[in-house]
Amino acid sequence: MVTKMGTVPFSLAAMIVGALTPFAFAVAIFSDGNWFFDENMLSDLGVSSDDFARNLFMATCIIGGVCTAIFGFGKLMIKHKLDAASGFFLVIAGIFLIAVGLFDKTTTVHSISAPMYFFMMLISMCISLFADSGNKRYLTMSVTVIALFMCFAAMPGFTIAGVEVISVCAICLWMFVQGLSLSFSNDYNAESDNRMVSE
Amino acid sequence: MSEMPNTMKIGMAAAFIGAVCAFIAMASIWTGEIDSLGLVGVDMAVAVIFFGVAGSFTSYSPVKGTTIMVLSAIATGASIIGGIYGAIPAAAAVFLAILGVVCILIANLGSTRDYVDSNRVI
Repeated sequence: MVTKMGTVPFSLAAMIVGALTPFAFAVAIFSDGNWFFDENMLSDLGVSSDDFARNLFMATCIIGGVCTAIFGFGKLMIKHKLDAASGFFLVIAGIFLIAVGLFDKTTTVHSISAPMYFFMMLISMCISLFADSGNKRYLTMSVTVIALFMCFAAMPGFTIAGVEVISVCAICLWMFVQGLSLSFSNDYNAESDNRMVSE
Repeated sequence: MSEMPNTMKIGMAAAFIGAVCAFIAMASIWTGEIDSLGLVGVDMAVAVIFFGVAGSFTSYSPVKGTTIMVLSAIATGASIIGGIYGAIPAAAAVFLAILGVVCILIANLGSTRDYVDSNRVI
């Protein structure tokens, strides 16, 4: 298995989201001090009285959204069929995540963007599940199953605030593994690289 | 019939250990009050899924090779969620998740998938 250089920037974008987002949110939560799991939404950090927590949350959402969109664009360009469809929904999810970072929870845009981000990610993950299964990428498929199971299994026992946090962690895990998968994918099409350069 | 790969025996052992750990967690979380039933149910679900994975790593497995991976993934996810719910102690949840990942990796081996797909009864 060889890493394909053409996929590395897009893979790195996904791995940055997967690795740094939970870390940044954790720092923001510790800085805020009044945020509690299963009581507060993550969006509450965006209206925190602590400037550092508020700015870190907003910046993380914007950077995470840009990286998600870049990864989705890469998947859309490099892969085909279901994988490309998954990438398309990732691009839309990234745009919604940027909107979450630009507008705090007191605005209508935020209250539309936040649920839409999770909905688009759910669609992308479901499509990716079938794509991975069809292309015999069973390890990646397993991680998608774990992430989806965690999101749905959390619903009976936690409030929407708790489910949101668990879902974000599951999504970050999924993004990281998807980045690795894209980097080491066997069905990489070098022609798409040439096509991107020529365009 | 070809001989069962040794890796499958390791997978079976890992899944059995996971199931026993989940049973121990289930016994320890039961307080004798009706309120603890929810957490007992979560532990029981984790134990049953791990037993299912262990049963899949046998001769005449009832499921396809890829289905064992999905079952192992669900067992891993259930262990993590059990830890978040507080039904399983954090250290035990991490241990169970590691066992689940071991099962996933073993189920992903070509020798395991070939053996299971050629010998399964259904």
